[in-house]
This record gives sequence, C-alpha cells and structure tokens, in this order.
Amino acid sequence: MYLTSVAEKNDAAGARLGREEVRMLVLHVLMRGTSHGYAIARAVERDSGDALRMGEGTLYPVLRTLEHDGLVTSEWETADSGPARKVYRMTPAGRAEHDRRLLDWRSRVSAMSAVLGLGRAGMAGRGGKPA
Amino acid sequence: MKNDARRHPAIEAFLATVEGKLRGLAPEARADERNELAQHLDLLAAAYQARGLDEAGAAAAALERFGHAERIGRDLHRASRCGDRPSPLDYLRFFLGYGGFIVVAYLALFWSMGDPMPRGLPWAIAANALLLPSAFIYSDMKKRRKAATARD
Repeated sequence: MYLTSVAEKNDAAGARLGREEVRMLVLHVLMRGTSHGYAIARAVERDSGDALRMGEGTLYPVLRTLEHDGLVTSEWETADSGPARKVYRMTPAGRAEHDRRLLDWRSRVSAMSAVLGLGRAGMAGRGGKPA
Repeated sequence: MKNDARRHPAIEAFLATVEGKLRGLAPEARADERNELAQHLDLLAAAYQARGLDEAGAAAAALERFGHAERIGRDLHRASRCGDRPSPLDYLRFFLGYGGFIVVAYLALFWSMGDPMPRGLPWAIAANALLLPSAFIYSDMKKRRKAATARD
C-alpha cells in the first residue's frame, strides 16, 4: 500500500518533466561523455540543484528510443572492480540533434521570457514593470 | 551489483513486475533490461542506506524514485520493440492485411450503396490496395535505413 502510494506520487512528479524534456536532458548529459543510467539521473539532479527530478525508471524507455533513433549507442563495460555497467555514448547524429534541440529550447525560452516580462528584452519593453 | 538472493524482496518484486511486461522480448534482451534496472535500484538503495535509512526504508525510497513498475515495463517494451527490424514475412503480412482491408472496405461500401460498380473501379481498388501498403512499407524501410546509418 505504501509502495503504491509513493510510486503514484512519484509518477505525478515525473509527469511534470515530460518525455521530451527527459530526452533533451539525457542528450545534454551525454554530450559531456559516456555515462550510465544512474549517473545520468544524478547529473540532472545535481546540475538543477535538485529542482528537476524524474521518475528514474522513465530514463530507460527514453534511452531505448534514443538508441533506436541512432542518437546514442550502448555497451556493457566491465570495470576492474565492481559489476559490468551499461554505458551510453553519443553518436554524431546525437550531437547534431542535441545542438538543434538546444537552439529550439533557447528560442522558446527567450520568447516566453519576453512575453512574461522576465527577460531583458521583456523588462526593457515595459520599463521593468508589468503592464 | 547484488546477487538476486541478497536484494530486498520489494525490489525483487518490482523487477519481476517489469520483467513480466517484457515477455515479447528475446530472453537475452529481457535479462539485459532487468540487470540494468537492478543495478540502478541497487545503487539508489545503497545511497539511501548511506544516508541512514534501514534496508526496507532504502528499498522503498529507491522504488519511489524509480516510478511505477507496470508503466515502466510497458514503456520499455514498446521502446525496445520499436528497434526490432521487421522480417520480410512481417512486411508481407502487413501488405496482405492492409491491401485486403482496402479491397473489402471498397466492396462493402459499394455493396451497401446498391449501385452498379463503375467500369474503372476494380482497377482503382487494385491500385489503392497495391500502392498504399507499398508506400507505408517503403517509408518504414527508409526510416529504419536512415536510423541505421546514423548509428553507424
């Protein structure tokens, strides 16, 4: 019962971070180098100052889709100590997709900021005060 | 990674539920998925234990962070299957099924209207039944080839 309720709560929180956002965040983390699922989740959490959390299980369907689309590859890596880990690596197509998405994201954020009067352009247009 | 016997039963139950949703996958692919999720959950639970939770609390907290087992299993199954390459038999099945559906739909339509069939119509039906599924198959093959090229 407890597990069901916490899982549902977690699903609700995960829903706030949509699949497309998770996809973008995964690509961004992998731009820095190879990584595995757990480390990707920790990187997102750390870089967002704990503000962005996803249902961590949702990472894996997203990773499978990225693999299918040819944007990342994966392989099991055996370390000297510890168990084998499945690590993900960005492909050139993944890098291009990341850059394209980043550009889209920037233009969307700046457009929203302008409309909401949050950005420099928006604030300047209204003399720094809401209309 | 912990071996299965040492893992908390709640995590084992979670993994079994996810695995149950992956029945359509090859046994090796299913084992891969299970191992990867198990590893992530073990690391999460260990991190919670390091912060002072007992084993049961750490397992519950790790599962909370992970999400709903059935949904993850379903999504994972769907995402893994979309990478499968259809066999020529799959394409043939699709071609015959879709083409057959078009023929039956047209015939049923004209039969229900009760009008005599225009002279050129059988050719139009045959052309639709051949061209539409072919176009879908061609576009699917093209998309898969593009993804494969990107992967290489």
